[in-house]
Formats: sequence, C-alpha cells, structure tokens
Amino acid sequence: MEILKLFGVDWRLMIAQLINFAVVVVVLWWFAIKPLTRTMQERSREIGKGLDDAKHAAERLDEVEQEIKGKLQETKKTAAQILEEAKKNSEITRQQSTEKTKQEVELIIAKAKLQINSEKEAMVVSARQAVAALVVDALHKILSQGVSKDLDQKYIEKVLKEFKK
Amino acid sequence: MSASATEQNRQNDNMALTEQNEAGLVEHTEAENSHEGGHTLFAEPIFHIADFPVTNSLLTSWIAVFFIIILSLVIRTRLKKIPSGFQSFMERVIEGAWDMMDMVTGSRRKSEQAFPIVFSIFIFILVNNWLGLLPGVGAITYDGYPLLRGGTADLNTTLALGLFSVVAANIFGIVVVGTWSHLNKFINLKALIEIPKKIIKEPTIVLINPIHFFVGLIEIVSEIAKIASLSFRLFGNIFAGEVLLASISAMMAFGVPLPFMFLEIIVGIIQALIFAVLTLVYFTIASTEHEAHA
Repeated sequence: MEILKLFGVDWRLMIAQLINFAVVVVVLWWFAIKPLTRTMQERSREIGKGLDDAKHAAERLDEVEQEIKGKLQETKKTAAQILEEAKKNSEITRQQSTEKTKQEVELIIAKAKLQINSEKEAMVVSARQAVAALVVDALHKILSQGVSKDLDQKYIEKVLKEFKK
Repeated sequence: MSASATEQNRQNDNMALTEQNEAGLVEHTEAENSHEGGHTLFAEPIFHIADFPVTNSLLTSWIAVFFIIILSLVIRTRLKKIPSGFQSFMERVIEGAWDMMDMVTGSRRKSEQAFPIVFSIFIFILVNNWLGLLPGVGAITYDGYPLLRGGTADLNTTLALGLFSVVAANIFGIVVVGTWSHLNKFINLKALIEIPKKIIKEPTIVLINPIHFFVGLIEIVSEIAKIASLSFRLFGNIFAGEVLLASISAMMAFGVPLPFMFLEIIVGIIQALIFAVLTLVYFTIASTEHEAHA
C-alpha cells in the first residue's frame, strides 16, 4: 500500500476519474455512438433494400421485356394475317370493281354504238332527203330551162333509181 | 472556498509527502515535489473543494471530458443520412474498430456489446494522452505547481480505468455465461464437487481437480495483476513520455523536441489502443472460456 502512496493514489481522485470516465461513456454512447451506428445501420438497410428493389426491378423488366417480345410477335402475326386478308379482300374488290367497270364500259360502248348507229341512220336519212331535195331543186332549175316534161320525169325517175341503188 | 483554506490543504498534502520522505518511502525531496515545471510521480493538488484535492491531472481530465462532450454534440448535430467529411471519418473509425474487435471476439454480436465501453476507454485515454502533449501543459504554473498535467500521467486515472476494465469484464462474463459458471473460474467448486462423482470412473480426478481448484485461486491473483499491468503500463509510458519531452526541452527548447513530440503522439495512440484491446481481450476471455465448459 505504501507504493500507492508514493504514486499519490487517493481513492477520492480515483472515484472522480471514474465519474469522468462514466460521463464520457454516457455522452459518447448517447450523443455519438448510438445515433451514428443507428444511422449507419439504417443506411445499410436502405442500401440493401435498394439493391433488392433494383434486383426485383431488373427481374420485372426482364419479364416485361419478354411479355413485350411475346406481344410484339403476336401483334406481328396478327398484323400479317390482317394484311393478308386485306390483300385478298382488296384483290377481290379490285377484281369485282374491274369487272363491274368493264361491264359498265361495255354497256356504255354498246349504248354509244347504238346511239351512233341510230344517229348515223338518222343522218343518212336526213342526208338522203336533203340530197334528194337538192337534186330535185337542181334538176328543176336545170330542166326548167329546156327539157320536156316527160323527159324530165323519166330523168328524175332514173336518177332516183340510181340514187336508191 | 477561500485562498487560505486552499493553502492550508496544500500544506497538509505537502506535510503528508514530507512524512513519506522522512520514512524513506519517497526518495525525491520536497524541493523536487514543488519545483516549477518539474515532474513528480504524483499529480499536484491545485486547489481544494472542501477536503477534496483538485489535482492538475484531474483538471486536464475535466478538459478532456469537456472536449469529448463537445465532439459528441458536434457529431450528434451534424448527423446526416448522406455523411459529410467528418461523419464519414467517424463512420470509418467505427467500422474499423468493429472489424478490429471482431478479430479478437470472433463475433460481431460480442463486439457490438463491448463496443461502447472499449471505444470510450480508447477515446478517453487518447484525448488525455494528447492533451498532455499540448504546449503549456506542464509549463504553465500556478503557485509553483504545473496547472495542467496529462490525465493519464497520474496513477489515479490509470488505476481507476484498470479497475473499471477488470470489474466490467467480470460483470460482462457473469452476464454472458452466468454467475455460477463465471465464479467457478476463481473458486472452482465444480471441480471439488465432481471428485466423489467421478472418482470410480476416473481415479486420477483426485489429483487433477484439486489442481484445477488451485489454478482458480491463482486466477484471482491474475485479476489483480491485470489491474496493475494495465494501470502501470499506461501511467509509465505517458509519464515517461512527458519526462522525456521535458528533459529534451530543457536541453534544447527549439526544434530538437519535435521528433519526440511526434513519437509521443504515436505513443499516445498506441497506449490507448493497447489498453482498449486488452480490455476487449478480458471481456472476451470472461465470456468465452466458460462457453466451452457449458
């Protein structure tokens, strides 16, 4: 015990230093270590959660991409089918319309031909009549100056016969 | 507290030391005890509160405690989820401490349980060690005595810490492995009880278990030795460092003490680390040795 006296050991000072240390433990624990470790744990938990979420998101993304691929292929198939059907339908429609147009054109041509023929016949008739009238008028004028009535009549009939031929 | 009362108390302290000198226990003289800027083995009382002597080491310890409180409050107030530079540094220190403790305990759970005590010991000793190196500590005098002296350059501090370390380790052991199992480490009644039970099966137990009982008694001595080794190692290193710096400064005040200052800064860290790690080792021994028996 004498050696302790040599070093000035005093139980009151030891208790005072223990109190100092106790204050340090409490203050460090309460204000530094506990909040700091809690923050670190919360952060690592959040990072872990973030990584998990990212992993789930990546998995979900893969799933969605697969779904999109599947749907895209399905859509392509459907589109191809629709296109094929549309082509067929349009071909049929085109053929039908072509056919119809042909028929209409033929009908129009036929009508036109008929109309042309009738107009032609009418024109011929009218021309004949006009020519005949002209001829008659012309002969009248010519013959009135020196041809007998009988000769005139004969000549007229002859001309008419030739004309009729 | 009046100045005359303080002077009276100081005279009493000096008288006590003089008596020790006369008895041949203290070899240094009274002049050595009270000389300005000198180094005594004990901390000098600066003033008294009633009968309680406030020594220069205690004053430095109060400053250390104040500094640690400020540091803790700064950490608390600047705490952010996304850490800044200082917080990052503290987090790295804590993570490093945990990893280091894991190497000793072998279990993160145990490391976390012992961490507040061990880390506080480290910080308290480190701050006290470094405060003792600051310019003015030991040089500024008050009434002929150094006003401040390194907190750990006083055996009262180191002894209190050593005592706390060993007692806390034993309490930790009791909490972890149970009172009966832990106390059997010192007074191994279990070994004595086993003798009549196993004597027929293992006759050698008559020789072995009394040895175990005796080893248990030696363990009590080893606990006291732990306190002594912890406290004297720290005190010796820090006190020697201060003496070394004072001696070098006395020989050449400028430039020459600088390398020794750096040396003492490193010694301050190493001694704080040794004390903390040894405390952790005691905690681990107290909690694991008996687990094997269980």
